[in-house]
Amino acid sequence: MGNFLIGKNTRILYKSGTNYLNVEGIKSITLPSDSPDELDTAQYGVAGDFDSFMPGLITAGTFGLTQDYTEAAYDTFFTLMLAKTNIEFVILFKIDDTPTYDAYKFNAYVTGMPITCSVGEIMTNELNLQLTGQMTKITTPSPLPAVPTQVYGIKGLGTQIKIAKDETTPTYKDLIFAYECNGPDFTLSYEDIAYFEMAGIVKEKLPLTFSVGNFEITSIVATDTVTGALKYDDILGYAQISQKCLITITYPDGSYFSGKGYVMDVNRDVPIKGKQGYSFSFRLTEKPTFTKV
Amino acid sequence: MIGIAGIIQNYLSNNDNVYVDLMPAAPSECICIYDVAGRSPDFTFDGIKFRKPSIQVVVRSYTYDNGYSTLQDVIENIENLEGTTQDGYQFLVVEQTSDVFSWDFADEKNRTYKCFAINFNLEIVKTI
Repeated sequence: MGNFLIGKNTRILYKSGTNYLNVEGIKSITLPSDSPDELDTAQYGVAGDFDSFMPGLITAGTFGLTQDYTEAAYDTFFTLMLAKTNIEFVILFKIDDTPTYDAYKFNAYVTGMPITCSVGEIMTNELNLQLTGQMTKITTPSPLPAVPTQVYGIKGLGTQIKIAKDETTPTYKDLIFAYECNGPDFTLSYEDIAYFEMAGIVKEKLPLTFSVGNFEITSIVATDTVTGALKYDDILGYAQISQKCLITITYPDGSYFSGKGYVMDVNRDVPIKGKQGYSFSFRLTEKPTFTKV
Repeated sequence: MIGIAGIIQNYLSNNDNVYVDLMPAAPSECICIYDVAGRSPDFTFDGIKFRKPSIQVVVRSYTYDNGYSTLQDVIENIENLEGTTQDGYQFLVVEQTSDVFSWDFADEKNRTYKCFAINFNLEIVKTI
């Protein structure tokens, strides 16, 4: 009978200097798959036969994690992402009660870290990785960092969004009645740098540029709003004048994003039952800054 | 009255014999509004709370026709609450969760009555 493995106690480490550190607060993992290109070698189609192909270059896979948001972990990987750092990761699968694991090593760039911030849910962030080569099985690294402590997530309730429409002399106004704020969703693009195709060779990846990213914000339409606060008409106006704006998004733990961009894609949801809502994208025109407390 | 059923009772002041959460033995023909569980509330980042209570309206009557007719009248009135403000609450959603259902009721003297009921899901917010 086999020793069947469960997902619990799976750990992911990353290398910082000469030490391995825990990636903390992981809620789910999507493992990479290495998939070879198909080189079509069929010469003549003959009814009844299969087309033939040979496996070509292997595309390095992608790897996805979902973490409970903590400002320290977010700050660490956001900085590495902006610096386009090639990071060594190790994934550890617990196989029994001994301190040894099934360990696999891979190198990757962080390609995206969007945050999901909803008023009633625990905040999470994605950690999207693009592998730069093959995943290889290794012996359990030593010394291993201690098993990470429980991370207690925070709910989005209390998040503050402020927008200023004048870049030169900004006067920030509160966006009120918002209940969801997700992003930034920009991603790091890649170029294959393999020179020729040969079975078994893994395509190398070279990081290039960051795509345009957005914060997606959803709010409720109301009249008689707080004096000086932003309401639907203001946001619609910002989109219509195409004026560069400033935004700050402060999460309940005090960490915050600051960025510049345009208000885009203003939509208003008018259901026959219930509250009217509106949503818009704040499209970033340059890298936002993330500040932890 | 405080409470959602109490607000509905106030709102139905043109109807006779409307009670809250306890249907008395007399009068025989009456209406009672019950607070029932409802759903978890929604919030905004700035702490506005959208409560989602539910109510049940029960009508007791001697006859099928009178009872059904009274309940239909109450349903129309309650549906008109949607979008209005009553006793410090704005009613954002007033939604029937089912159609009318009925049962028979016999009192201690074995007189039988017809009872009709309807459930509503509500969404309300305290007016700012």
